[in-house]
Amino acid sequence: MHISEGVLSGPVLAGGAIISAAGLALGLKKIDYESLPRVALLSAVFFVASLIHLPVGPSSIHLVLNGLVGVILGWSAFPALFVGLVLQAVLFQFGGLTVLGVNTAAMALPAVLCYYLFGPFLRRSGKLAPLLAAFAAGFCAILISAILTAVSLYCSGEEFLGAAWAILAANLPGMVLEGVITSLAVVFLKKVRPELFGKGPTLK
Amino acid sequence: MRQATSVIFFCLIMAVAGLAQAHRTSVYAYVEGGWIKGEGYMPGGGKVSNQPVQLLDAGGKVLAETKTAQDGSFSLPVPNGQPPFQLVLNAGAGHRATFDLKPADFGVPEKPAAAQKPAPAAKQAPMAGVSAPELCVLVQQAVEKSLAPMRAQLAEMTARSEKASLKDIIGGLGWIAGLLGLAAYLKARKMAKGAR
Repeated sequence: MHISEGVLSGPVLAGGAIISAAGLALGLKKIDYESLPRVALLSAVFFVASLIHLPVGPSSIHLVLNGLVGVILGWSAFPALFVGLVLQAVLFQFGGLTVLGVNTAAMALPAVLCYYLFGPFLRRSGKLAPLLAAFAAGFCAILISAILTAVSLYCSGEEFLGAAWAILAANLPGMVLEGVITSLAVVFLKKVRPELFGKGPTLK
Repeated sequence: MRQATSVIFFCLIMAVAGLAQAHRTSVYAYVEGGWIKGEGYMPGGGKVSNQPVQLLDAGGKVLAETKTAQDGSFSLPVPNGQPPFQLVLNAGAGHRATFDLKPADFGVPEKPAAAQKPAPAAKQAPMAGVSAPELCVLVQQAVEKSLAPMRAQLAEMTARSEKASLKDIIGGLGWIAGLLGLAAYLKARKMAKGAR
């Protein structure tokens, strides 16, 4: 899902950069003294998660965990994922510096969306609702990221359906895996650190 | 803080488990006997099969095209134009890799002026029954043959060195910790100023 350098066209790169800059500004504003370590921690989780590869079919998939980062951090997912992506680009040539904006937007926008869509259910007290919501968050975050990646490739001249199917097919096992891991992580964190999900949108 | 420690510990364990690989595409190539031979791969394992490879000249014009085989390998005839060339492997879904073939890779010295002076010894070539150009070809073939295993080894080493190393992973985590410290410092200073 990390798009390489030299694939996207100029306007797409610029668009991604603008969206990411706006998201970063908003995300940084939302960080207070209390939540700062949480942002850094999840940034580290994202940074390492992307290095874990599982062989699936002819290729391999890696964890992204942007759903998990999103439901806990909300808009602050932007700075958390951005820092992780910068380090991955510099240290491992994952993606690249010019595509940082697009890659950040493609991973952080779904994260924020999951925060608003599934966050309220995650904060419920029951057992089943948070579990299902966490699975949906992990699953949908990758799904939407894949769609955004396909859209940015399409805007750069690649055929949309071909690119979209290839990316969706490659990421389908990843979506299920992320769903499972996100739900496990949320159930565990709710048990040991319920305050992580304390603030945020709730159902009335 | 216990949570932080356990998460970092977890990250490190996963990293040490040897699962860490850079998820990107790479391409490597060399020239042998009039052919450009190469391989597309994912560092740390995995071959890039059935993906288009293009050979571009310095101006970006496509000179030749092919597809990688099941094992990621491909070969293209050396084109007529002037090196340097660039190989572009497009692995789809936004993954792309390039490899530069310099003039030296084709046996052409970087400065062609030096090559134009014919070596005086080559003209005489006193081998029985073998003319100078023939001898040249024979030597070239012999050298290429003995270089082949070294080239394969070099390709493998390149592939391995591109794997994300534990050093880089720990370095990255250190950066995140440092940024956290910096942000906390700035926030604390702001709060102290506000309190005054």
